[in-house]
Amino acid sequence: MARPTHFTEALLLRSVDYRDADRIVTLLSRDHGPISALARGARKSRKRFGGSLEPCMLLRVELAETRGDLYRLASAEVKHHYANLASSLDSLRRAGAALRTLRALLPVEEPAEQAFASTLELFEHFDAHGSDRWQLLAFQFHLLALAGLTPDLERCDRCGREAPASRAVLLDAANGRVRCRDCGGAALYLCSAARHFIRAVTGPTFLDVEAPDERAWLQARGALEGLTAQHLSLELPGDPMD
Amino acid sequence: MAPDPLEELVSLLARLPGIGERTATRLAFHVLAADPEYARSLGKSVGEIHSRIRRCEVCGNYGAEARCGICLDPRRDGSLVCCVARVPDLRAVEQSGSFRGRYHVLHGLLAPLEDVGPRELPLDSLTARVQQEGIIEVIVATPLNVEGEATALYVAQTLSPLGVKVSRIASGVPHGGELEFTDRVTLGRALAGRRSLDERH
Repeated sequence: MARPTHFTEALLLRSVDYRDADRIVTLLSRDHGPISALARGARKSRKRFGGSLEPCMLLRVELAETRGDLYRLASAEVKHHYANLASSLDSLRRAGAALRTLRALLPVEEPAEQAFASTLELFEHFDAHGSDRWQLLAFQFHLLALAGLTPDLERCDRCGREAPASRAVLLDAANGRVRCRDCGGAALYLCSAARHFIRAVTGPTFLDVEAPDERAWLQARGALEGLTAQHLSLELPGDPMD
Repeated sequence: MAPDPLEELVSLLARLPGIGERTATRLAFHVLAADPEYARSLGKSVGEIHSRIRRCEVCGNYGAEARCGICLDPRRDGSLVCCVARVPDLRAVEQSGSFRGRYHVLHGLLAPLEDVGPRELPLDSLTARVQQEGIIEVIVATPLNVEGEATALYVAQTLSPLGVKVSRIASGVPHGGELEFTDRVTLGRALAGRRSLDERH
């Protein structure tokens, strides 16, 4: 009996040469999250896949189930090529860092429709307007929030008082909550601009925010590093241009 | 128990690209059946490859001397340099017979998906050549994929401030190719990179 096949949209997360003619590709699929598939003949012949197995392209793929862990990539066609993104070294490298972030954060074969949509949003932005380092950081915070790791920046963990938006706070990365400066005791200082940035990008839209200044960016970056190290034991890619 | 020498040879041959277990077995039996002097020469040649072949100190091509034959050839056009990712790419351009300049082999590509950035691919020697050798144009002939494109952009970004012309090999519909069967990215690039025919009239 023929094994089932699925059609879905996907982005390439990784491609590894396999044997002489094949490739094993890791795709972020709209319907199944990150999956791995064997693309037979992808290295030798351009007939089946053409130039489609490249990052920075939105693909429509046909995945066939197999007896093993890997899908078989039956076909792949380009739905959209982010041509401007691919012609800017800065944007390409930031897009690469975004894709590495997805690889690190998303569990295999768990649907991640929102993460998929957010990645397309990021690529569309890079394609239309170029890239900036804060947008990569915003995307990473956004993915962290989708994973349920939104830090609570509103209320002091010790005294329970609400921290006014104009005030700086101290973030305790271990419990993802803040202390007011009167109570103290947490290590990561967040000025009001850094707080505002994190709050904005962990909401539903992550690109519709004002670019943070250098100080706020550095503090927000430190907060991201602290949160991912504490809760996920991993280090997300920094800005490739730094 | 001593390892079976035939099996050992088969397993070593099977690690070569394009060689499966069955072909490796056939090759091993072929070597065994041939004149022993052939096996000795083959073994000597393979064993000495790392000590006898070196990278050209100028362009990075492989050769037996400090400078490769192309760099030493006075008939080559020294003002034109073709920049490639790997030595097999240099060979491919040479075999086309369409290029009479010199080369520069990067021995790698930027890889945005694998965090291979400019730090891992320094262009110091190419930059020095541009400054010292009177090079007028550098043709970037890296592959037409994201890694090759990223590398080409990086080469252009690094060399353009030095006043040298940096060009990219053309891409598009292959010779003899039908438009109907050409993928949309390739066709899009072919249209974007179109050239005027006015000069022919």
